[in-house]
Amino acid sequence: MPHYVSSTFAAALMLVASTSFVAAQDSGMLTPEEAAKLYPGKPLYSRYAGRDFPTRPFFGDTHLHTSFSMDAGAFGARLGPRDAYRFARGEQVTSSSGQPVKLSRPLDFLVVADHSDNMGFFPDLLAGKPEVLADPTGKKWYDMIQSGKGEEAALEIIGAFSHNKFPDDLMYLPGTSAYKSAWQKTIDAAEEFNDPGRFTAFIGYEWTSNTGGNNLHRNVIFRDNGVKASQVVPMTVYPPNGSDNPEDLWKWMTAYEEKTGGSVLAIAHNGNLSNGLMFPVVEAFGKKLDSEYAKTRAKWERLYETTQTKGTGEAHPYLSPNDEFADFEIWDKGNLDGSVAKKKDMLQFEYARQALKNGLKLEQELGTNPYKFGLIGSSDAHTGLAAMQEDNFFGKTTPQEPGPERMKKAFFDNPETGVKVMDWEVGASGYAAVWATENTRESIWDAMQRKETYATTGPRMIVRFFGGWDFEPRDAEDRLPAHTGYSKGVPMGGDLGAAPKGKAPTFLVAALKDPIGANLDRYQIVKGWLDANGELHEKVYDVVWSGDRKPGDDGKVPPVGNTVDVANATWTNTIGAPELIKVWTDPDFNPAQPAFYYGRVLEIPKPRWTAYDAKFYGTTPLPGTTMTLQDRAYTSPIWYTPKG
Amino acid sequence: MTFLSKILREPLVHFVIIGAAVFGLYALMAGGNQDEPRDKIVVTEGRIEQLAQVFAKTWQRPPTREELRGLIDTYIKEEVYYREALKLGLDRDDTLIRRRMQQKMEFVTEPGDALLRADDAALQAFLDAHKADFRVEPRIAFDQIFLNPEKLGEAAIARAEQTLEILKASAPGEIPPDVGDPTLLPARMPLSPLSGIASNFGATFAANLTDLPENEWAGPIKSPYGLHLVRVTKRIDGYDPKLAEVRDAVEQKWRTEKRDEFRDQAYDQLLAKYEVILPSGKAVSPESEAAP
Repeated sequence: MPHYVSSTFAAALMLVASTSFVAAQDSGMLTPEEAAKLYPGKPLYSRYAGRDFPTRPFFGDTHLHTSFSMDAGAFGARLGPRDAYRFARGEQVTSSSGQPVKLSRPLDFLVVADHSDNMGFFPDLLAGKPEVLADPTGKKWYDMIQSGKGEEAALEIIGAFSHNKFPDDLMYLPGTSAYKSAWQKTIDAAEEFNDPGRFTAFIGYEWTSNTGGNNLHRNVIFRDNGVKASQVVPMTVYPPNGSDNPEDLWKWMTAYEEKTGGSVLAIAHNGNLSNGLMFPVVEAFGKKLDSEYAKTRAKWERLYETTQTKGTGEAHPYLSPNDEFADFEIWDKGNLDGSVAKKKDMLQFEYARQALKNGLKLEQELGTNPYKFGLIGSSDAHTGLAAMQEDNFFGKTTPQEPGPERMKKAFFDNPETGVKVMDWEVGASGYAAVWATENTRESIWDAMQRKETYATTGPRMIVRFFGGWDFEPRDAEDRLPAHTGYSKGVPMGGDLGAAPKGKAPTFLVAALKDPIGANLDRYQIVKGWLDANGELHEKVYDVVWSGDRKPGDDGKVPPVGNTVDVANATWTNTIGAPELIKVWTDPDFNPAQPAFYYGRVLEIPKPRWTAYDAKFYGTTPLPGTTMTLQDRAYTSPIWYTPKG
Repeated sequence: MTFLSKILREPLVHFVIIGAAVFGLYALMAGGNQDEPRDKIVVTEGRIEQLAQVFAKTWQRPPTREELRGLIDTYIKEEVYYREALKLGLDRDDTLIRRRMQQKMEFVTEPGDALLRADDAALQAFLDAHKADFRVEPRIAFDQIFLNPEKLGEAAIARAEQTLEILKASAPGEIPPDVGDPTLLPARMPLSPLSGIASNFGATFAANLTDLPENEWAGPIKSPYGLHLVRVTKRIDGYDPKLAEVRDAVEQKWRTEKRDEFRDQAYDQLLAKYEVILPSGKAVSPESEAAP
């Protein structure tokens, strides 16, 4: 079954024992002590031996809809979960709009996350009921199936369909395809395409809490196989079975784990469309936040989807006026259906950076940081196609698949509230990058759980981010930086642990451009911290950059330049660097102040998907259409918590 | 439900909804007569059991008496609205419902497991007919030393040649620790298919590996990152695999094709029941166009 040999690094990975990661998963946070166990730093003569740390990131999408999602189907999506997995692993398929499409390179993993509401769970429970078999025709078919003549039965059944001779009660005859619920079909597709070592097909779904048009959606991802997942049906929103309160989703997750012994995690997305509800600091659903809320949220929601087609939610220019790169693919006009316009005071509860900061403060009040999450990106495409490359972007919905007019229409337009978002504002973003040891459900899920992940807005750059107390400049000269990183520190998603006296945190950062992508402009570290007066602060540091640019008086490195020819949708890698490596020490460290640090890696400017469309179709873009961008990656943070 | 609201704003949908509402209001006022026979909504034991089962599968516990009552009430409400909506024809001209119905039909006419089981003979025939799809790629293992492009130009070539001499003089099988520049690229690449090497080092680099001698440092070879000195340590040529080696993959692809075939067939059967008339007035009979 598994074809280990053909995965790029799999031969090396086969030697790796992955059991040690279970420990990290249980404790929840990766402290230096645990990291030391995971990545033994004891020197070996051969530094290539005994490397049980991840040597490459796996790229995937944790949030893809297919025709099984009611809205996707209504908008004409024809591709189901099977097609989605085939496409993600690199096969050419025909899109719902009839266009052949293929990824530049296969993805390593995919979660088909269709909306659980209206997915259709009933058939398999209805089937097998005595009244279903009371019909003589049904009885005959049932017996044929039972006696191994399924093929004959299936042909007869299809024949009956096409001649209007199909008894109503038999729509869900056991053994026929219709017998299976959409959920069971989703599970079956993941089971069929999961190919450990080569391609991971996760079982998952999206819980779509959307009351009042305010987006509180979460994707639920199973670590487990179909045997466990099919013991439950997904949590829904509509009453009486469902609920729109995330606390009820966490109850569902608890019940699943208790019943099956399995593991699930939830990833929220689009805080930008929640109108101030995604990251509350005072109350949620009419209830004051308490230690239980903080603990439970931190337990189930280890990651946040910080970039996708409906906007990027790392930072907002209003919240981070000193960050000249914060204004990136921003959607801040209103909530998800445009029914309520955005007010400025909602923004602080919607964006990842502000939530990471607020989390530091909440930890002081509640004992647990509810927003100690890592970062990933994903598509949220409703096409069955995880195609998020600027020059190979297949849109968010089927009507937004490539075509001459796709950048001219409105995504939504509510004249009453004045909330209008144009289709050109949809982003070709993003993917999740996961530092796992093996391409398996268990290994990738465990890495997500320990937050050793980063978000990309499309390109597959490789990003390392290690924090510790003892990195020295010459560690960046080491030919095997990752080896040093794991030996002397913790990777992204980890905790720095207690500060040794007189020392400041040090970081080993490294990034490698996408081999078919744009060069890199700079690697920045974003720091957030809480001071003694309870005030929150943030600062963006330029750590390493291409060329011989000198930081200005404000400490900022000037722009890298721009080689984009918009009319021809081209650019050149004559500026920027293919690789950036550096060791950085926090110059403003105060051991009494809780803090987090995360990496942000910027590419040089290149044409946005709108430029490729304009060139290919000869479409004249609407005034104000964004035609270039600097795609980027965001790492999960590393946290520092003072001993107290 | 993300796009439901968008659909609801379509003018045509407005028109249909307003029309239906007016019609419905009229029907309600006209039909409020108590003497008319009332339709029955029969809630069977089986239905209640099913409602309870879905609840239990969601929450891992049976519903309480109150919750069950709520489930039944909701079901009745849904049934009332469903029937009334059907009477008003609200299912017609509704894109969402039409597409959902199509999807349900496709679900229901999908071939069951029995039809999708293939024997070895069928799979062998499929493999023979699709050899190129299942060909095992050439695989190469290699070591590489990276030279940073910041120092490109003549000096870089000279440096590469110098470094190559040092490497050639080093013990076989080892990589001297102090040669080359730091990189996130793996120094020692295990046996990997060419496409895998290409996705890490670029396509040109991968293509250039095929001509290199084995167990000997060579280069420099260019990649999107810079220059590399390379020692190929193992090379396995591509080949056409036997069925046993790729059985799962062949079966999966066979099933995919079979499913598509079946879906097309099922549609053709349905289509054959209709005479499709296009606006020009020209009848397109299923026999002449759609039949296989």
